[in-house]
Amino acid sequence: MEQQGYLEIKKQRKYLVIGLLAAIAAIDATVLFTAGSEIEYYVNDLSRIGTIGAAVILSLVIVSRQGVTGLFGRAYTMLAAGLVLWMIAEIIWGYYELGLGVESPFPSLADAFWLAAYGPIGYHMFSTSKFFGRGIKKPVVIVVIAAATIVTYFLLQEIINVSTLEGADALTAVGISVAYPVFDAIVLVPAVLMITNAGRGQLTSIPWIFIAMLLLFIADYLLGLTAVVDFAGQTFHITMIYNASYLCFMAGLLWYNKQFIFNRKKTTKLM
Amino acid sequence: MVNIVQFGKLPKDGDGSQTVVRQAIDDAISSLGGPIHKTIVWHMNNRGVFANPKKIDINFIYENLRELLGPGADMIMEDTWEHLQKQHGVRFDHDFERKHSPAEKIQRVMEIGEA
Repeated sequence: MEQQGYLEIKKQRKYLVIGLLAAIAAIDATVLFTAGSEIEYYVNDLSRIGTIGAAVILSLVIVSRQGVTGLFGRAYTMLAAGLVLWMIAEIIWGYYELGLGVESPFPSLADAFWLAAYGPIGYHMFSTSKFFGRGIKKPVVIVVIAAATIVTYFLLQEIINVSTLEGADALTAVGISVAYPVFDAIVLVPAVLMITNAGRGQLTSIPWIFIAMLLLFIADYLLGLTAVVDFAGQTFHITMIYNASYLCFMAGLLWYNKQFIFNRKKTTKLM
Repeated sequence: MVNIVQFGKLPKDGDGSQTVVRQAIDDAISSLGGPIHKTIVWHMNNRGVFANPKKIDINFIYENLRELLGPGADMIMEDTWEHLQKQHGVRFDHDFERKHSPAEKIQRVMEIGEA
């Protein structure tokens, strides 16, 4: 029965990977093929709201099923809180663009929600890294922290150097553009460490949430660069990375919901 | 060679120490959250790990936890050891404490309990 159980887990992991890749391909292909068209903003904004919305729903299902106690109970409640804040931010951004016709509303109220989410998301990353990060050697931790610091320093230099913003909001805009990579770097450290420590454990071999954070870091960096040049040029590729990140969050939540939270029906089926 | 310098409140008979260790493992897994505790115990039962509640094979438990949870297994073992130290006052001499993994220390506690 143990073998049967493991084969079932492997099969479900394979389906999840295929499903995730198919979802990313379908949603990002729509974003790509509508780039430059009249409906570009609709597709960009609605796809991001849709993907983060799906992750939010799943996170709330998890919180209702497992409660808020224990290491994972608290960590997933915080993740849900962070994702809700990001969803609100995406909705506000979408409302500005699609409802009020303000193209690329930056800085705006949405940034307050995006930045506020780093608290609960950071809590999730650091608390779950206690579980997933056992056995990481100190030199690896030092290298990752040093690399994150150096990369963030150069990113900040680049963002500040290419800034072409002028006027009263310019300082706020640059400040917010700088805040994203700084906060990202803080949560990126546990994410990268967990990815380097991954590959083991039938239930834990793919660190979905940490991969999602890595993608988010890339998207935030690109958005920061675009924001300080007043959103000159295309931004659809950034939406594609955000969608991939949100879908990775969703894959992680799906996996956790199915494999980690006790399900009486599953036990009956395999017994 | 006896490495324990303090046995604390831990029962000195074999069955008693097995029960205490089993309870400590259970508490460590429970600290992850109730539903996860049930899932892990369910997987462990399927593998026959907890088949005999009076006979604990800590290395077998650790191996199976590691297969299932990867690095998380080490956290469960560390928490189990911490629990035994805090709740039952078990202590080893500094040298043994430093050189051995939590699973090895728990194994030693049970060996001494059985002796």
